[in-house]
Amino acid sequence: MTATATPLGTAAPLPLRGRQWPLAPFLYLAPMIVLLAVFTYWPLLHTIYLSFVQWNMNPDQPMRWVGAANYSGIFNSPLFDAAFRNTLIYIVASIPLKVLLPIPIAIFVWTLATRGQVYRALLFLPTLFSFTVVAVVFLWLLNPIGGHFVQVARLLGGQWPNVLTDPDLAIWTILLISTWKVIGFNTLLYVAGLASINRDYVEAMRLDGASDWSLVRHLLWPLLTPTTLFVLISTVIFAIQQVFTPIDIMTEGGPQNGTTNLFYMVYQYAFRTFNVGFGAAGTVIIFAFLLAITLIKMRTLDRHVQYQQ
Amino acid sequence: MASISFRGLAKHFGGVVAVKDFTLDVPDGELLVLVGPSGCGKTTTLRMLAGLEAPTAGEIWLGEREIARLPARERNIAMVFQNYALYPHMTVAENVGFALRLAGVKRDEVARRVLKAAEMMGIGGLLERRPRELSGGQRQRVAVCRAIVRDPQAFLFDEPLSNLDAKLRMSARAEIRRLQQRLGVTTVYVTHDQVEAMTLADRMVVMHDGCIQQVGRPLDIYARPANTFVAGFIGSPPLNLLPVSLSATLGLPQQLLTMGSEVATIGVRPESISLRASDLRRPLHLTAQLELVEALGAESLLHLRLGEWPLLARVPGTVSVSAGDTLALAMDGSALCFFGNDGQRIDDSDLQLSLAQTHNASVVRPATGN
Amino acid sequence: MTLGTPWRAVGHLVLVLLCLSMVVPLLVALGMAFKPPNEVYSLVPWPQAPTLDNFRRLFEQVPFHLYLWNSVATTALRVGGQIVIAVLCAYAFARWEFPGREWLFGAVLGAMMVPHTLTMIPIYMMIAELQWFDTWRALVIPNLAMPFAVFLLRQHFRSFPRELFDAAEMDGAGHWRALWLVVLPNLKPVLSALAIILFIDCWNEYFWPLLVTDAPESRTVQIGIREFLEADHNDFGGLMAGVTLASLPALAVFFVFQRKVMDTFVASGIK
Repeated sequence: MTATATPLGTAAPLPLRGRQWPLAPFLYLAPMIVLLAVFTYWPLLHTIYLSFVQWNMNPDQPMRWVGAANYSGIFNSPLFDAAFRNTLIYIVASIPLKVLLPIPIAIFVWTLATRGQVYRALLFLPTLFSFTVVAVVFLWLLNPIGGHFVQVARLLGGQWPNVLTDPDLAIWTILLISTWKVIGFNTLLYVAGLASINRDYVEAMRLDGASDWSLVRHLLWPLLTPTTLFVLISTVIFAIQQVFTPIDIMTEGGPQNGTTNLFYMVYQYAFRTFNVGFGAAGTVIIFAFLLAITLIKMRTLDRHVQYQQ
Repeated sequence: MASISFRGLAKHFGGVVAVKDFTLDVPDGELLVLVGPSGCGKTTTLRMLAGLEAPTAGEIWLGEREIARLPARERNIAMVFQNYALYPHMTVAENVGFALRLAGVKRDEVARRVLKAAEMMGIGGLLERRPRELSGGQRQRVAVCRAIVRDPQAFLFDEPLSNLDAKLRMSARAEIRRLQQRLGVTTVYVTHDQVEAMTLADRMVVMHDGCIQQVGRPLDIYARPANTFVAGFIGSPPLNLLPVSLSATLGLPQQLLTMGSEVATIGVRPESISLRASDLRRPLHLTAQLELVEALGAESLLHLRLGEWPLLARVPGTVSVSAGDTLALAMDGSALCFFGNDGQRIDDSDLQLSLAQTHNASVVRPATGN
Repeated sequence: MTLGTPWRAVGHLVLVLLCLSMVVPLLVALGMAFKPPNEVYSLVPWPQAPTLDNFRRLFEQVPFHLYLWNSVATTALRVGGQIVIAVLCAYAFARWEFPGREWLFGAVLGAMMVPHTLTMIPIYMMIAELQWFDTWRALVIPNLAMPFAVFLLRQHFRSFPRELFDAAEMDGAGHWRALWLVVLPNLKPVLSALAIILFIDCWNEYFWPLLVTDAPESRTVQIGIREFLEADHNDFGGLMAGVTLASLPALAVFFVFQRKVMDTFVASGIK
């Protein structure tokens, strides 16, 4: 039998009728897309709009367009000065404590390999507990009357100041507590980053005669830069959003705006005094702030990030 | 149990044409093999038959139903995949019975049928194991078992033996053949291995560039390939393809080649060449340079050179020659194929007749030194 | 990498101190939960005469059982919903080609970049308009979309062997049944990891429940702790009792899933 490439006498080939693309994937995606549209993208636009109006959440009162008045109002308020200054303190002080300090600790834990299991488990502990719980526990420990710190200081013959009512000390207290909360997790992030470094590089450097310090400086540090950057960004966001909880529980922004930050300020405007315009403008300001930091990071730091080949 | 018919089946991927106008009838119970090099469209055709790929045009008939636009699960076809595609989180028994349970068959009925199929495939003892605990050969059997338990109207095989080692491949091949004959289910089998195709097929479809090159029984295709592609693809080792300019060197009378349509290529089967000394009956004489000998034991492959053209000959293993020798060879004229300028084989009954006449004439010629 | 002995000693010292500082406050709190009032100021972390009285007072002062129930229910609903929606989403991106696929994927992942601060006010306004204050809906629905989960799942879905989809199709399982019967059973480790992360995240959440719940009956356990603190700022025993109860589920979930995750890692292996 020889080849045939011509159709037999029956019906001519029919083209495919019906849908070109499947419908199913859109059905699967629908819940996510709808939810994102309603609860992420639309509110994003709405917030920007709200930053230009004045409203007090009262459905009987209409919104009033005020242009940039909200922004100037915020920038001129003393609350903003305090909030902005504190935010900078939170962020800048967090860098050595939460971003850099975990690195040597992580390197040490990494050198222990499987013997470091206990350390790793314990370091992870604070992550499991909520910030609420952490804030409350430290409220007790720092209690000026009977808290553990006071008692230990007394035993040693000294005095433990009332850290939470001192306008200058309060912010550092919260800072240290938040460091306690995340330092373990950040250390483990770095350990994970170190674990992903190809052992061959370490061997090669060793054979070249590198000392411990050389190894750290020329291999570990550069290859950790992606992790470092990630931790940096998380820490910045953490310093703005997550610190809310201890601030709210321990000091409520005080004393004398000593612990408030931009986010807490927005909370107070929007949900305490119900000044929607200020609140929205505040969130836009925070977003712009974050954007600025991201751009600075991209310009300066991203260039130095090293990835393994 | 059903016959399969393809009518003008075609598949376009964007600008690329993978399958062109595939039309064929497969009678009930036949084992049809689609064979060809990578990219020839055989797998795409199989997948269209399975329902895993939507055809761009054409019809597919399974028995009385036209199924080209039906989803795969409504076609009552079972498939064995190249990598077996066993569900890793299920036991062998669950893997085999999966389709039945999805169809709502009662649990004890499923168990009964699974056991029966497993025993037929010789894997009755493996039912509680997981795929990762099985060897390659065992997994292949489970994949086949999964297909037969469904009692479908057709079996599809997508290169199921390519992941097995050579020795296992041979025994698995025979098993599949026996199984198919026993069950009598219409089967379409895809492979790129033409040895597999030759041994398994009731009929073979050689494909190239999305087109059917030739359909027929393996030995028919082997003896009378439709064009130079099929000739060069089928056979191990494949046909020698030589330009017509060498006809004199091959000892072919010039006049033959101007009869009827113009001959452009001559096809010579490797086994039709032998040492002149060992086979006096072969009428066509030629001389070639031996470059390399591949001694396989039962036979040897001689890599020869005819002028600047390579030539492969297949001789018994007992022949003693060395590389560098100039050999006197003889060729069997009736095993030759002739191809025209378009690559198509020229119907050679007239040529064969003339050759026979010439042959008879040459027998009375005294044998010369070369 | 090995270190010289003096460095190693310093390293261990630092780590021991650090870990102690992690553990001690938590142990103190746990001990306090069981201490009678007269032992509360004792520096010794564990109680000499343990009592359950603190717990009793906790439940008397505030409806802590309601807080726990609200947390349990809303967390279960929310995490379950987040996983299901993210799974459907990741599946769609992995299995089909369709127009706009890359663009939609970008839109989903891009939503991860939008900080909650930017969206909270309008969402709050929506809650007000729908009168969803003090309901589970307010706690669950606005947070159901979790692009992070899609991000985590995407790699695993993408590397799922496509032949298994074909095999499932031939066996009669359409895309829906294939997802539940074939794909997900093979993804247990990543689903467990995701469940842990989402659970802890939801259970420990403070800000959003603070905003949308007001009535005592509808508060979650984290806000409940604050409620107790406001009700009586001197009953630290009761407070620590609350803290202990509030922390147990997260610990339990972690340990349970941790073992399951480890087991599945050891035993698994897709062909």
